[in-house]
Amino acid sequence: MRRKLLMLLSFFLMGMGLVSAQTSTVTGIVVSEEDSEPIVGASVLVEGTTLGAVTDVDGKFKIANVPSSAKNLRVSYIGLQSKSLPILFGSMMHIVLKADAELLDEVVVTAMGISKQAKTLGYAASTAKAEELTVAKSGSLMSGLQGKMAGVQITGGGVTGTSQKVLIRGISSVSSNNPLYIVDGVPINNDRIGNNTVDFGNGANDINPEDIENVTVLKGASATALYGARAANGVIMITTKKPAADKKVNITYDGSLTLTDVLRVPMTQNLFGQGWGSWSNEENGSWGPRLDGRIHWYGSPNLDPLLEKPFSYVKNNIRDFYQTGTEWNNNVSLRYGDEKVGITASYGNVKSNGITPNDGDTYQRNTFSLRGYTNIKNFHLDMSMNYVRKDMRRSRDIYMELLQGASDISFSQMKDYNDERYNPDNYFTLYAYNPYWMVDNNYSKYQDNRFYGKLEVAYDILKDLKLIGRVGGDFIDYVNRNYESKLTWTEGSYQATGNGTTNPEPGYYSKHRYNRSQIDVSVLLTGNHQFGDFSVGGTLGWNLNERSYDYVGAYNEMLDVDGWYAFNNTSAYSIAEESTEKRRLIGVLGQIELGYKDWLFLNGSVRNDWSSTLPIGNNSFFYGGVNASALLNQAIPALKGIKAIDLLKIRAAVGQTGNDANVYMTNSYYVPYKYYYTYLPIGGASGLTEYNRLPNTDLKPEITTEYEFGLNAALFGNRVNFDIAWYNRQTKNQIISATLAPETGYTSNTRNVGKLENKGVEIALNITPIRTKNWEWNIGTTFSKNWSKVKELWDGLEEYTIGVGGYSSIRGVSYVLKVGEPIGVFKLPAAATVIDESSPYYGYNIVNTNGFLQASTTEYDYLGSSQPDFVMGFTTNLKYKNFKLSATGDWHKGGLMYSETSYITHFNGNSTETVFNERDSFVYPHSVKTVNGQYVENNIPVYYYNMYAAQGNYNYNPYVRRQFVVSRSYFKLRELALTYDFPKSIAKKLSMQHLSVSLVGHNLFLITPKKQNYIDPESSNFGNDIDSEFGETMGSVSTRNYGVNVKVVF
Amino acid sequence: MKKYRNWGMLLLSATLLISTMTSCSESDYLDINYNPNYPADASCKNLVPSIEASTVAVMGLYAKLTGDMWCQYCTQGNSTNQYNDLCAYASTTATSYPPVTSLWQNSYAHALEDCKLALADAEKSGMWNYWMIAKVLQAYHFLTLTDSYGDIPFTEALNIAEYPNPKFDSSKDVVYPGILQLLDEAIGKESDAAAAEKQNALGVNDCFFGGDMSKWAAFARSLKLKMYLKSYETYSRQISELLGAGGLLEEDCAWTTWEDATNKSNPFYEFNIRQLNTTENVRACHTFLEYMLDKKDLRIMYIYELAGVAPYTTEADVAEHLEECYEGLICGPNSGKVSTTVAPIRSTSRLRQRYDDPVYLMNAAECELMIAEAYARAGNAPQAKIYYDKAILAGFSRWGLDGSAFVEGAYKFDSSNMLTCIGMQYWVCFAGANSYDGWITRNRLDIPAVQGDITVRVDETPYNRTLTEGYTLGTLVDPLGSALNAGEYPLRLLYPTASTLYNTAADEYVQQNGNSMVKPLWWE
Repeated sequence: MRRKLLMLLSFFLMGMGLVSAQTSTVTGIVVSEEDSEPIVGASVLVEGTTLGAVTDVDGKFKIANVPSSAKNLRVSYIGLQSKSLPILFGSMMHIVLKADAELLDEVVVTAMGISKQAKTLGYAASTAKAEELTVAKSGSLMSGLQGKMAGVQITGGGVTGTSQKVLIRGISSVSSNNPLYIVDGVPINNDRIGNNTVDFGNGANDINPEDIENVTVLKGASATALYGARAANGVIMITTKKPAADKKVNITYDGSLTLTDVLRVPMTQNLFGQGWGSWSNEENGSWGPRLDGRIHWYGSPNLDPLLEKPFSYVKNNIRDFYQTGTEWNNNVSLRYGDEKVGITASYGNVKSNGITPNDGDTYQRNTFSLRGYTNIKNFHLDMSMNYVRKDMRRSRDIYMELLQGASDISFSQMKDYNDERYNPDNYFTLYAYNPYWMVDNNYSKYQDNRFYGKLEVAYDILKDLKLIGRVGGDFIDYVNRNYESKLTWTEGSYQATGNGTTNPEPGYYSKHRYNRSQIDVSVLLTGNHQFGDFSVGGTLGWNLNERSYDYVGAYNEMLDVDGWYAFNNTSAYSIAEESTEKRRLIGVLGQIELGYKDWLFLNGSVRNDWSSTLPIGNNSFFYGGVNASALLNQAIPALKGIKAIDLLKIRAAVGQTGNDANVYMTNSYYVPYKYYYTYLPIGGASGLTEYNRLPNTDLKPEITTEYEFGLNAALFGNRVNFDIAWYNRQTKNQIISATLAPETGYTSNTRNVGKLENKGVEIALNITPIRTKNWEWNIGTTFSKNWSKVKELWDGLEEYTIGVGGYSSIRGVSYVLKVGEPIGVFKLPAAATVIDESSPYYGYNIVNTNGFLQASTTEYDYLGSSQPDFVMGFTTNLKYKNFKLSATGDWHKGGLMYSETSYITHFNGNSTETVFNERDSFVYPHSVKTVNGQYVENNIPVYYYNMYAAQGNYNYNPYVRRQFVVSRSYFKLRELALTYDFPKSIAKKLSMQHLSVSLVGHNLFLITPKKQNYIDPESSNFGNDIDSEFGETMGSVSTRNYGVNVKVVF
Repeated sequence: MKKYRNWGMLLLSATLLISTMTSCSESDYLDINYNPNYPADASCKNLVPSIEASTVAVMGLYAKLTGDMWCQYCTQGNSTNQYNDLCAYASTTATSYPPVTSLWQNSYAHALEDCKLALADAEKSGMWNYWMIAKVLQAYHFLTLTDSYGDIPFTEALNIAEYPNPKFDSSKDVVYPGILQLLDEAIGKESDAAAAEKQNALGVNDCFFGGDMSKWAAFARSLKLKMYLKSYETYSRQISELLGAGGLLEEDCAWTTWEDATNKSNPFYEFNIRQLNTTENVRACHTFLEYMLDKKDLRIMYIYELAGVAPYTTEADVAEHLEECYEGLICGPNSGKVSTTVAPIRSTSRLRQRYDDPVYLMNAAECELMIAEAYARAGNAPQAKIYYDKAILAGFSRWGLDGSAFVEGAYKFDSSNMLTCIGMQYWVCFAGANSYDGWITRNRLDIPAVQGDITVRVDETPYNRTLTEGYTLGTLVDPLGSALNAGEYPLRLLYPTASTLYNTAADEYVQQNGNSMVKPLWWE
């Protein structure tokens, strides 16, 4: 290893030493054609040498020691066409650069790692470059993409390292909507690790954004068809930074320190205080009397002196519980490259101690990456190796304890839970635990080791024909431990005798070791040739993918000795468990590309897959796509002459992709009886029961068919860029677990059903209104609107309930597919009303003997879909001399979500919606009661002391449940960054090539509709697929970050 | 040379492609979709313990809870809300308690499906002991289903290949005769089963009778008696034959081998005490407690916990002062109790629950009472009294108590009013045992009667035991905030949407016959 480094170093020195004897100085000025203003920062290189310069603030450059043998200068600047021109020794060169009107040179990486010119694509592909991704240094790749791509919805505003959900063009599958992540041509695992109470992030979180060159998102089926079975929901293609073949050694340091605090906690009402119907010392709700500011005792009556506090509102009682978190993000990378060999090595470290007090919430990620290439004759070797190590600790369930406090309670004074007044025995309420105690006694730890990378060998068979072999692997090992302290109360203590709803806890410990791995092998034969006006390209390929998952672990649900977390610390059992699964997929693929005269492009691709998860003998599926694009400005002579049009492209695509089933759906098996709290073995008897899922031997893959049309234009010297796409995606043969009537002996059957439709428009617009010597301003916006519809289910069924976190409904709210409606609508029981149309009281609510409304057992209300009306993103960059200000925001309009936070704050009287009518007594208007089976006008009052039922509890008022389904609309300021690039002269004095300092902020503020004062609509703890569209169950608060970043290139 | 090598490579890759194409669809390489975590086969030895477990799982949990609430032994505590709907006779077509969905789903998909598989396997291997248990429990589950819902899928059930939409059979004309036949088949195999037991002892695999086949036969005969009593007129001949032949069960049929570990203890204890976030939900109900206090029945001490404010703690003191140590709540859900005079939770008694509480399929007192009832209906008062008295003693000895004082005391048999005496003792003996059968039996006999639209006591003031004027002790009342009309009482379970949504025959049946909790079953 050391020898190689030495070799590398000597290359570098040799490059520096190559100075020839005969030299002169070249000077000049670079200006823009458009406004004749000098261009600052243009790069000027002497071709065939390593010599070069960057233009100064006046657009001037000076290169000394240029050998007289040198012929050409290459001048380039982002957004302008690069130019090569002969050197004029001895005179001031005047170089004019034209706007890079056609983006002709932009190359994007498409399916199977095949590079293509953007202009030839017949489908939508959005690309974001490194500098766009890391504007606000969020430490997370997908965070950096938020708001920047049309049709790509990225959600997740939680604590560092928690998972993010990516939805491309809406929900199209009931089983999986995750896009496929591809790093440098090989797929990586993006499974989310965690559950409803704790979130350890998803696979894509492991990629260090500082390693990334660009990200391209392929949205449509035609674009992704080559990737096969897992690409039906789009592909996110990540290309890492490669060394440039410029024979230079670069060492870059990029570091930031950011502070984190709470973005959103629920707003609480400030009129009523502790109690439940009336004042109570032991309650955690705010259903007590009106706050009057008088000093009042509360909590345990056993304390001497008693706890006392003013009976008045504590404004930030939840917010003040949290601390300001810190996050360090340090990255170092080294790059070197020449024609034969190139190498990049990088190390990144993120260390965060989040907003939860003490060490309640910590995250540490170390990423090591080594990438490089060598070119030996006809062989090209390309490899990348990445190692990631993460350590996390997360507190569980504390948010719920915080939400269960009266509005006049101050949590922050109870920090010392060893204090007699706040300890578990004497915590003021009998219905919750001290959240500070929870932080230290109820938590999960996570640690992983992940290795992923690839090895690729390409061989040039002929000039135009290349054979590529590529092996990718992704291996994650992780350990997850859960800890819950054993809690016993002192006999006779306040909690022990209080008959509250908190129980002594038997303690819990679990430890599981997981292993996920993926191997992906491809062999590709690609070629292309030019025949006169025609160009022909083609690819043939073979692909193998194997994924496996395995875990083993155990749990102990009854600890004997407190504080000793071990499996043998129990008088009962520790239960060991394990599971393993494996799946394989083989595919063959072919692609052909035709081009005519550089303005008409046609592309066709086909693929056939064989999947192990489909019935053997019937496991093959075939699909493909065709797309075309035409550059109208080149094709139509009349347009050619219009100077304002730099590019005008139309495109059309049609494609299909398939999606196979989950594992083990095609055969039956037996499981130990573990139902209804009765788990065998018991008393020495063990037993097996049939797993009541009818195996399906006719299972077919899910098929997505998509049509897409688009228009792309660049106008006025590339100052206006415009892209619009329209698509229509139909997904049929959804693989779902269909319910069977139990009297058949089975409860479910995995089968192909239904048809879902997503139609939509995506628009991206970029404008550069100002581009002068000192100023540059550009603004960009994206707009996406998706219309979704459930076209059909199965056997004439009208409705299908989407399970949420394993439940069919939460607090009576379910999430369903209903034929004719948008995908994913919220359904809840209606209030019981008179349904007899002939009754004079038709439509009146029916109250029970206590004057409360009741839920209907037969009628349901449908509240609308979780899908937004539209989503917009906004970006802007303003550059003045060396200062650059960047901002990104996004706006989701419409859509609904379930909020458990709303439920709990209603239940305990903290929600601002619970002070309706100032909690005075009333009789429900337009309601009837039942007397001897007859309806008569209701006159039963609901008393003020029962408002906890009438306004807070959905069991007594079904309309309360409606308030749990809240608006998902929001506007978020995602990123704000102010960067100062130090002038080259200063950097040079410090022996640096580049030095910049930025002030950065992430998720700085959030605006939601006035009534939605509960949650950040991005919070969800149901994973990163369709479940998470349902809403949240008090998983975590959302945060904002702000800090400073330094970037140095040596 | 170089050129050839290039072509060679081309050829290699082409071969690779073609060979994949032709071999993939049948290749062993892809034939891996068998769940390696679980076995693909199970024998009757594996299935029978599961059948027994699935039997106690729902009967010992949701069915027990429903029986306890609907027999008004218990009611919802007033500081919590878990069982409000259940208390108020409110049910949807998808609840777990009352066990609308849970009973239907568990019995058909778990117990009965496994019975079918176990019977086939046991028959093949000659394990008649396993066979007999599966057969009796198959009958037991069908009986529980038809006594809960009425007409049910029977002849076409559990055969998805032929009947994806099993039709509903008449409880009276098809299901009852069918179940009786299953029981007769089981009884007929007793000697084969006993022989098989000698070869291949069930041991711990039979959690009810430890492999005693004669007890299974006795249980089967008592189940027959239980069915015959549904309609004495129809089955009077069979009843006298059965009594004449003897061999009826006269002991508990119960699962007792619980462990103090998560999900291995009594299912109701597990659910309601160990795993729920509160232990305060299930409290004594005025209806039953006042009756028992009136009788000074010491079983109170084993059915309920001492109230938090009880002044006595030793067994002897408590027995002396039952009235000061136990207190109930007004019948009905917490929502029905919202008033200004709420009894503090500490002044009332919780239902006594232990991890090792047995789960009964039939209790000894009930066995004797059935025989007593059979004789009573035949007009044989002396025989009826003998078994009635045995039932009283069995009811007390369940808790290790001696009930002989009650035989001639508080519960003295009244030969002029035999069925009322027996009916009341059914009600008493199902407290703390298989109370779900208590609910079914009450509906069969209409004892205790439902008085309706009245409360037991004037109010909820703790330890003020003044009864409401006009209330007769030992009658059920409407829970406050009842979801049913005044005087109405749940007579059956609703058909679950788990069936009506997915079985077209079920949907059709419900369209034609309605789906109501207050529609009497054929024997009611």
